[in-house]
Amino acid sequence: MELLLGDNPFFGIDHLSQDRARKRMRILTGYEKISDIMKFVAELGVRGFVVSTHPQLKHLVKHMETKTNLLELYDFYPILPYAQGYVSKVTEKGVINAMTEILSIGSNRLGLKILFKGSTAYLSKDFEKLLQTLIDVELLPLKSVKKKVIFLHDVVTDLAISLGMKKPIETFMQHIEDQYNLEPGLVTKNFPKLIRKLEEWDIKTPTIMTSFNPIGYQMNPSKEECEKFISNNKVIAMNVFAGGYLKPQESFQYISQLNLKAVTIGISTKEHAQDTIDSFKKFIN
Amino acid sequence: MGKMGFLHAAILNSIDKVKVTAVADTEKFVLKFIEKNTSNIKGYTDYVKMLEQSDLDLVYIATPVHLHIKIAADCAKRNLHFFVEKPLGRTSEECESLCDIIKEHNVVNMVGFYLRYSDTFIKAKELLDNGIIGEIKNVKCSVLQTTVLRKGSSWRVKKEQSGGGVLIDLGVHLIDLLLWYFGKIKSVQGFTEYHQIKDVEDSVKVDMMFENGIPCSYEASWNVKNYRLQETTLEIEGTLGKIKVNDDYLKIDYNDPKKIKENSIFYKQTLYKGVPIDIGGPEYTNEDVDFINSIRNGKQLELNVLFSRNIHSVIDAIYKSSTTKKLEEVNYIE
Repeated sequence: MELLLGDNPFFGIDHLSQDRARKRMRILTGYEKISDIMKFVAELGVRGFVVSTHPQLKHLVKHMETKTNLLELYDFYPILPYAQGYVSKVTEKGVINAMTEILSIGSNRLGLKILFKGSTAYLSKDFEKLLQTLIDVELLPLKSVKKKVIFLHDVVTDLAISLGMKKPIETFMQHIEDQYNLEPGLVTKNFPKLIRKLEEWDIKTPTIMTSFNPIGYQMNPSKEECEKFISNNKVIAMNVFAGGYLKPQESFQYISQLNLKAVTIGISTKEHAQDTIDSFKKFIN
Repeated sequence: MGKMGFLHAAILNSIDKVKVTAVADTEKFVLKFIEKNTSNIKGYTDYVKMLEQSDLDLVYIATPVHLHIKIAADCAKRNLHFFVEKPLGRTSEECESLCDIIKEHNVVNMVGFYLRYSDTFIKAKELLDNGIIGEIKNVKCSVLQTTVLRKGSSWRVKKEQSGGGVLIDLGVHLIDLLLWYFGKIKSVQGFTEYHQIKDVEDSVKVDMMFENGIPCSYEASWNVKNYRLQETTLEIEGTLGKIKVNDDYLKIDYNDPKKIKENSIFYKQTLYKGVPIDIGGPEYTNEDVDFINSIRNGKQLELNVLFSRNIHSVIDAIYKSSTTKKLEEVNYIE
């Protein structure tokens, strides 16, 4: 079982509490400090970095590229799109203006002729092409990094399976395979439902990232049901400490009993990294 | 079909024996996307046509606020059960017109105050009802979220369409919790502030007094830094101790040092129960399941239109007070 580093604590995201997120934000400000922790974690043997494609990512990557050798050490596992950014843009500007703005970022650099100026007809002519372009735009900041699996954000995955939207899932998976020659993955908060839906749609189950922790936090519809669906699937566990609520020891004890491919953890200090990774090695490898 | 429209549609479609069959949006692009990618959902640019031509049991209204009352009235007149996102309307007067129609048509209706389905706030209600911190002496509360406002960009920043700023958009949830926990608010003295744009307030501070004599200090703000997510916090002081509750945890501080420290903190993680589908958080799922069950059982919910106009009476009084610069009594319509 592999250990992956998640980027949430680096960008002020903390699932235990927002109070703690703000405190940690003060400790972890600056790409220098993030890189320092990443170097330390790499020395302990971690080589995978799970990132969401938020606006700060390109600055972190640039820092890593110009000032460190971290891009050689880490394989990236991007999760896209940056859902919160899309939601705020659409809420503020409406869907057409938001799409036009997002796509225009990539039009020059991707050599695409995105000249529609907010034309509904143009946008709806080819949803497949539109989705592919959105993926390309999201991946632009990660051009120079080694990527292993490209994941679709859980909000998009879960909306699609709930509304019965097979095509967007297929388009995503195919585009990642064809255009990038990489493995696609799906993040979900509804693991059994996703597996059932993929079977129904006759889509080969890709790597899945979903919550696994001993208290069943964000495991839907239940912990027991989620455990049943691991079987032969390639599953990466996230949320293993239930958003910081559990101690590494009790989480890894539980995780060690499951047939998982990898585990994603969030780290905020070197000390924290040492304790967590020691505990992982003790219980799992 | 904005954020909330998609969220509710996806949840509803995952509830046993519920199927989303039609959506209405003025944006053809959104409708084409939905029609092309789903098998059974029909799109309409005119919601009246949707109500007339589709065989519907219930309707979810997740439009800009100025359209809520008219669409809800059109649903009620056709005897269609409806759920409407918060806030119900722009003013209590506007809400009142819907109440008259509802009284004539017996439809199950609900207004989307999702915090009542959030585990930590449910726990607080349970503890307060059990008198765990004794008699309540005072309340301090806030709802904060960093939000950059730009003039003219969204309906949310046009008072004509939204009814106001942070108070009616975000603060309305906290007013609902206050009424749920402590009963009716008697009077308010409010101060609105406009830091970012002139049309709608981005900060409001209110001194309130409940009918039962509990004083409360209230704040709602978009004009804060480092609040990535909406954060609602209440600090409730009683004769036996204090409760602090927010979206993440609930903490009890007892005055008596001998009081057992066990069970004095509840994290959302320990209160979490799995749901049939989780998209934006389990509270939205539980809210929708409750609404569907109410229709199935033919029972009205507490969070209905008639109750929600009380929230608007409070909001009206706060806006009025911030203009008159005086303490204002809340006028509830009975």
